[in-house]
Amino acid sequence: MTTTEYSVKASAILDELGRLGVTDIVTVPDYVMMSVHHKVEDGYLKGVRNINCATEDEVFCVCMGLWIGGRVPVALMQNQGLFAGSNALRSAGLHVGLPLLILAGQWGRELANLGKDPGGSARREVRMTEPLLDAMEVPRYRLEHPRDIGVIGEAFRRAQKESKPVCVLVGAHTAYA
Amino acid sequence: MSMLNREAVGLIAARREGAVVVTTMSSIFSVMDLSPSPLNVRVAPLMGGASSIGLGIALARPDRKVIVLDGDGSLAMQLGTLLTVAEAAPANYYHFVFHNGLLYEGGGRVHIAGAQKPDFCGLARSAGYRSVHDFSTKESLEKGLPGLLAERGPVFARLEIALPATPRWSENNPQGELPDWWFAQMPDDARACKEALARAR
Repeated sequence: MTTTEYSVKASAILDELGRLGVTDIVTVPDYVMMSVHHKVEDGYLKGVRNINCATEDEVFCVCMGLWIGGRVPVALMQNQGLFAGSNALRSAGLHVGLPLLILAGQWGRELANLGKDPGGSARREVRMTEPLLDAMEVPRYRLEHPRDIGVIGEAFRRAQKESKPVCVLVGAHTAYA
Repeated sequence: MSMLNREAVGLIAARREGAVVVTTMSSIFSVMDLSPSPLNVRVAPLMGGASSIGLGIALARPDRKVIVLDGDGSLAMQLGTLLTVAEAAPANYYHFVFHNGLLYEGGGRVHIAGAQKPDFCGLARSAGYRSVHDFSTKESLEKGLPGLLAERGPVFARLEIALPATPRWSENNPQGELPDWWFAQMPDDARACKEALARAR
């Protein structure tokens, strides 16, 4: 795992989710946020349930069901999962008006692109992710540096206010702290 | 040695009591007719999503049974959901799969991948469902339902479904335009069910 000056601490992300009242983390685990997953599995967020799914389609559907039942889920995946789960994101997310915070890691991003526009990445998976979200009319934020941590709360509140999924793209490997 | 979709839905609906029913594809029409309720969630247009939407509701509301009426083509699209459900293991989750090997049983009738060959019961059993059943007639379903719904979930049941007596779509009888309600049903049902469950806390 490569930790850089751009790496956000896993504890900082989870502390934000805890403050926002998240009840369930629904995921197909992400390479970029591995330290977050490990902390979740170690029980860092007391009382928050971790639900691992086989596919990202399921992540969005399980989140929809949890929301119907009165819970406050968050979805964690990597950028490839946004592509794989886009049909369920369209239907269970946008069509239903699901207020859902999505955290998606920019899997495959080269170190040389950190601190720069992801649209200029040499890796297709990275540079096509924001255009995918734009095409789907899913608002998006960049978590590119520890100082950007506030975008998690901003995205969460926007999802609630506008009743729609909102995505935070995690730009660099998160740190084990 | 099989039953109609409508017959199976009628038997299950008669024993739903206060259960949430998550339904998709052909069963949507039967549920609308036979068991209207704010606790119904019709899953369309989203083939393959019913089982995991039902899982989310079941995990959120362990005090209430959740019945999923799934299609074989829908389950085939998301077979991994069997693993996800089995791991989460909600005790209040009842997963019925309507098996006829076809997509669009009401008129299209094109075969799903694998058609009649998949051993859905074997798949559910090996995935880790707590209990697995197979019903090929309405009589056997009627007899088995009370015990099945008293079991601790997740429970899986395959239902052998016969074709209705409606004609297959053709040049002189083509498929129609999808109506607006087909697109409004899932968001409408999701909000109604959310409100009904909140009131019932």
